Amino acid sequence: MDDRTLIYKIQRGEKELLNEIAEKYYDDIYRFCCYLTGERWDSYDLAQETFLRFIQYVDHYRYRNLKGYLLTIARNVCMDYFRHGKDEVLLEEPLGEQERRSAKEASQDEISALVERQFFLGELQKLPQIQREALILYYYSGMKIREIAAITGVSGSTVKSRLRQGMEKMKKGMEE
Amino acid sequence: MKRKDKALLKKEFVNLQSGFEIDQGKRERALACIRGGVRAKKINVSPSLIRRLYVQIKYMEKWYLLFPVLLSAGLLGLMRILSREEGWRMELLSLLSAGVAFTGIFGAISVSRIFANHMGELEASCFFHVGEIVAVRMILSGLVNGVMILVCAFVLQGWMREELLKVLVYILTPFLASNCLYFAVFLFLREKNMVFAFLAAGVVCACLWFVLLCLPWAYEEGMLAAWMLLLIVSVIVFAAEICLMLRQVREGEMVCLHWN
Repeated sequence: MDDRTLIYKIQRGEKELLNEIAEKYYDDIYRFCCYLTGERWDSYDLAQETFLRFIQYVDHYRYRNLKGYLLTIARNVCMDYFRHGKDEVLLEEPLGEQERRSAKEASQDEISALVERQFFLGELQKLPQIQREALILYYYSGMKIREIAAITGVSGSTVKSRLRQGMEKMKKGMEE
Repeated sequence: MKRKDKALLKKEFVNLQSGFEIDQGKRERALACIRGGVRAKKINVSPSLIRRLYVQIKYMEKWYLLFPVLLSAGLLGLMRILSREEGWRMELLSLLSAGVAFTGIFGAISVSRIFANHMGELEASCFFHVGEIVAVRMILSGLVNGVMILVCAFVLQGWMREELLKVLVYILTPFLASNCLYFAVFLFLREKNMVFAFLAAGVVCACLWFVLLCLPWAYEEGMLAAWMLLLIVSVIVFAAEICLMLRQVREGEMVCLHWN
């Protein structure tokens, strides 16, 4: 069932279909929160909060781009997290618990890939939040410039400039 | 930024995603919490678009659609009588133009009535979308007026033995130009009793057009370009007024306006 049909049916009273939306998009939203905040464990709660807010407002939602709408809510949830919880995160623990466990059993190639990923994640976290979110939305979520502009509430040219600056910093950081 | 760098960054994100394991236990706990939220959620079922349109048409005041029809029918009847007289030709057109210019006020009144006595607020709180209500009324009013103008032009061109397109320009121009004034009254005037303001604007427009179009040179062949120009300007101004009105509706300014 496509998103439009899901929303149509939900707004006609089939609220159980909200679970289907959560199943479908939970991983994407979780990863988005994770990349944006750099907090692997808190992001489970942030993704959960995103869906709870969506459930709250679903009656009045006019279907356009569901994933974009969820990402907009997720972004706001992350902003609240920064505002009320803590300042921007520079770098999470180098390896998560799961990675530490699998690193013990991994081959040399797998370990280097793991370190590379953690290094990339670290570089991403060093970026200012506005550039980081532009990069994540563009390269990870596959959003178009105008969609990112709508989500972040800035103009398309501002998004382009944030992307360019973010890219340059990432490139510089990875070359060093 | 080079394309190569973009592709590299995209690849890094793909790699990052592939190695990004999600703790299934935590994921399940979060989804269970969401399921709890879904269970507690009470969906306010809103009516479908078809249903909303049906309700709107059912309860809207039909007089504002009926008045232009009655007025146009009356005008055609009057013209039928006058057309039997010798020498009445262009005067018929002037009379019809003035009459049609006056009928435009019903459309403007119908739209502005939506915002009377806080009705906009009330309807907006009952699942109706104010922009939707305005659009429906304008489309209905435009359709009725459009059909009436076409019928009048068609009948008149038969009596006058003129081209239909030419007669249409002579009738449409006063109609649209007058509507610009009516909508300007609606947008910029904040009077307690707007019906009188609309009626006054209608009478002024009708008289002005009748006098102007009784001038001998008004329907000369050379003046057709001027008519066309006025028609285009009227269309642009009218479109701008509709955009302004929709912006005021969207921003909530219109809903706050109320009159008796």
